[in-house]
Amino acid sequence: MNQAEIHGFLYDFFTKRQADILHNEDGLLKVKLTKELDQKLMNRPFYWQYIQAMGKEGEPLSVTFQSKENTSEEGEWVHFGSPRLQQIFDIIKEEGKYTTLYEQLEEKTNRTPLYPWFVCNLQVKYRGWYVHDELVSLGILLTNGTMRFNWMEENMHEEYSETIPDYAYTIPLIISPQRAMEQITYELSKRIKEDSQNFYDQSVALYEKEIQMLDDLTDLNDEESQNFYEQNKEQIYERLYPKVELNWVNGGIFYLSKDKTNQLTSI
Amino acid sequence: MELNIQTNHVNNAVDEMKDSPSGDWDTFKKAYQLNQLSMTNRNEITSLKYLPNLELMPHQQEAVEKVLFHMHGRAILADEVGLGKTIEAGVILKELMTKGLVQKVLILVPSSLIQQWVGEMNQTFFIPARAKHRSYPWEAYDIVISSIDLAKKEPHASQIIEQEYDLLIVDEAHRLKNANTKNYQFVKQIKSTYCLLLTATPIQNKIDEIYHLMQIVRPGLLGDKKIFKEQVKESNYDAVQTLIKQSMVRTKKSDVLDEWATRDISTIKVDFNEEEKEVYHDLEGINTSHSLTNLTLKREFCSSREACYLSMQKQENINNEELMNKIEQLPHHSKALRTIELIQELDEKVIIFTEYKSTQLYLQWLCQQNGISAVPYNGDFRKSKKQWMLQLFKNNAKVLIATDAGAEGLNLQFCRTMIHYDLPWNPMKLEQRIGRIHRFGQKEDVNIYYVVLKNTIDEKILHLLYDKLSVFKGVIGEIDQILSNFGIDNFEDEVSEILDESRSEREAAIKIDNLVSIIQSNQPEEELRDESS
Repeated sequence: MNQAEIHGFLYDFFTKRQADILHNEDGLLKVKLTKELDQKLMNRPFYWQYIQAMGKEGEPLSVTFQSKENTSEEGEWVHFGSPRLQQIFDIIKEEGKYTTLYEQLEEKTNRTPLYPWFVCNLQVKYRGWYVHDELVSLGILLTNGTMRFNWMEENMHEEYSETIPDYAYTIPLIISPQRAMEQITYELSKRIKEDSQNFYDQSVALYEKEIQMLDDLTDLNDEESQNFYEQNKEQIYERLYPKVELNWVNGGIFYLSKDKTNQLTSI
Repeated sequence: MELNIQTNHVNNAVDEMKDSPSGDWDTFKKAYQLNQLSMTNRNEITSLKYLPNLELMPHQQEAVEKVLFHMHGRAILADEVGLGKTIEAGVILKELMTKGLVQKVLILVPSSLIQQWVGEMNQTFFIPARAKHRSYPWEAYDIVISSIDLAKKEPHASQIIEQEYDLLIVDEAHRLKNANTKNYQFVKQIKSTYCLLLTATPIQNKIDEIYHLMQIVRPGLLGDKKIFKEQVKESNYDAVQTLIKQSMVRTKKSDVLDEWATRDISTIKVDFNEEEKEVYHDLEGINTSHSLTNLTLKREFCSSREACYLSMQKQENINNEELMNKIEQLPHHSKALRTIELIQELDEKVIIFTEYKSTQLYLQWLCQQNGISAVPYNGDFRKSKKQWMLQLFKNNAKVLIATDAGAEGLNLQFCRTMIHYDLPWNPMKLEQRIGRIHRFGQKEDVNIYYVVLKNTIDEKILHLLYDKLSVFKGVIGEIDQILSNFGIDNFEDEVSEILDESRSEREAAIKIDNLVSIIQSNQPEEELRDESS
């Protein structure tokens, strides 16, 4: 998405969430927010508190967003890095954090089983002599524990819906999501350790060098310099000592047909 | 020991899954993609995707990557003049904003550069940065650009110190090198997660200065100042170097020279006519209270009759009406006439630099007389007028006549020809002038002309100073900086003193040679050196 595509993105975002579009020209979008969007975007909790206390309906605001130069009117300028866009991104990230979805089937007559997959997308966060994040996408078939990497990439163009298709039924889970997660962190940790020896060594070397430097440069003769020393040691540790953190991006349970399941497990 | 991998966040997330609302497939996919966008991938500067018109030079890309992925967003950007530090800072800012890491930004720059920063941030980077306006409080801005001179004054200073910034950028950060100044004390107190200091002067040479700038970028890292200095003296030299490299990016023009447009330099020598020669000769003989004045008057006369005349008028103790009349009678100035010819020969836009405002006026008038469209540019103009003049030059006029003051920081890559109508005595200044057009982004070769009067102070300077300093070939930075290590604060004063006090040209030549050798012995890639050793 680039600056020119922001307009379409905003349009989709607001129409999908039932906001009324009051004006729509390329680069300029005027919307009447819903109550929910107003609460999430406009940062006026006191107003809504008051409305609620009074038992009234409340009046959501209208906002004009501008994402191109020279539009017929001026509006709030939305660009990459603007707090507004960040806010909207955060809403989507939050709404899309968990899910339960079903594969859409062509089959409309026979009863068809759907197999449960636990899917999780994780951020692997490296902190040390360099800063680096990776997004890892994994799926585990909850009937037998088969693990599949790059799950999202494989499924990006599939269609999934929130309701189970007619005639379909779900196979019960044998492995719990918690158990699956354990398996995933175990496997992932093993791989990370294997792949990041260099990162680890370099970080430790640099860390030790700075600590050495700090040792040489501080004279621990009074309490003040003792504090100073501890504080800086901490700071150097935070900055350079190699650390890896797994963070949850999003995930959930996906029910897939036998064909699709076979396809994913066979590669 | 082995790598510690934290996994408790993900376990908690799975526990929450059961009770959380379920998103639809489209939102789920978008959330995934948006998360991908906000991650820091050390192999990629994401924000460049949103800046299709910006093409980073390899050294800029490298600098940005270092700052983002290795320096944790706290660094000194110390590239030499004209290598595009502002661009680097802009990309870093954009990247941190795109990742959602930065929203509140304070940018402190010299007041002459405020408009340029505002323009650059908005137009090149689509970052809505605003110049501080007196009617809005500091906390009302997300991204504010101000001069350090304003910011450090009360009530501004205490308001700024109360803020929690995500990123602080200080341009021309060599203004912070002295820890006793208000500038330094003020900046040190500003709270900010990320921090970029931009400076073109090499701080490697002076241990104190490094220490102080590092105190801002990485507070505490270099320990106690006294012990630090002792350590450096003793042996821990390499360790300190390594540490500084951890926090400083410095590219020199010579490192990237082959990527540059080349400069073509020609000197045009002009003869004074007989009347002018006579005046010049008379000027040498005037009695003045201070002999430096003679030198100044001669320099001025080499520039224009006006510059010299006005200056004589101001000096009360010069009572030489006869000479002033003579100057008044002169119909023209030979150098100016030759310059007009030169402009007419050139079939493109030209920037003329002069040291004197009265010369600037005269040249503008002369251009007009000859049907050449010319616009002036100097430090006294208000911001809006400066912008307007630049606009005029870019779109309509053939010539921009500028004085040194006010021209610093200007980007005029669209022009590739420059005439130095008179030569500054400080070659640094010359380098800065040339840097206006000979910088990154300049795709064509650059033509530089010096117009010099034969047998005058002009020519003397040319021979004594410029020829020796290899300025003509290009890279000479930081002369003042180097000299100040030797207790010589102002190169220009030093040179005028030498020229004035020397009884012969030979003597002046030797003295200037000495000066030059000091500079040369200290030139590039200066290792860290303790000032007291």
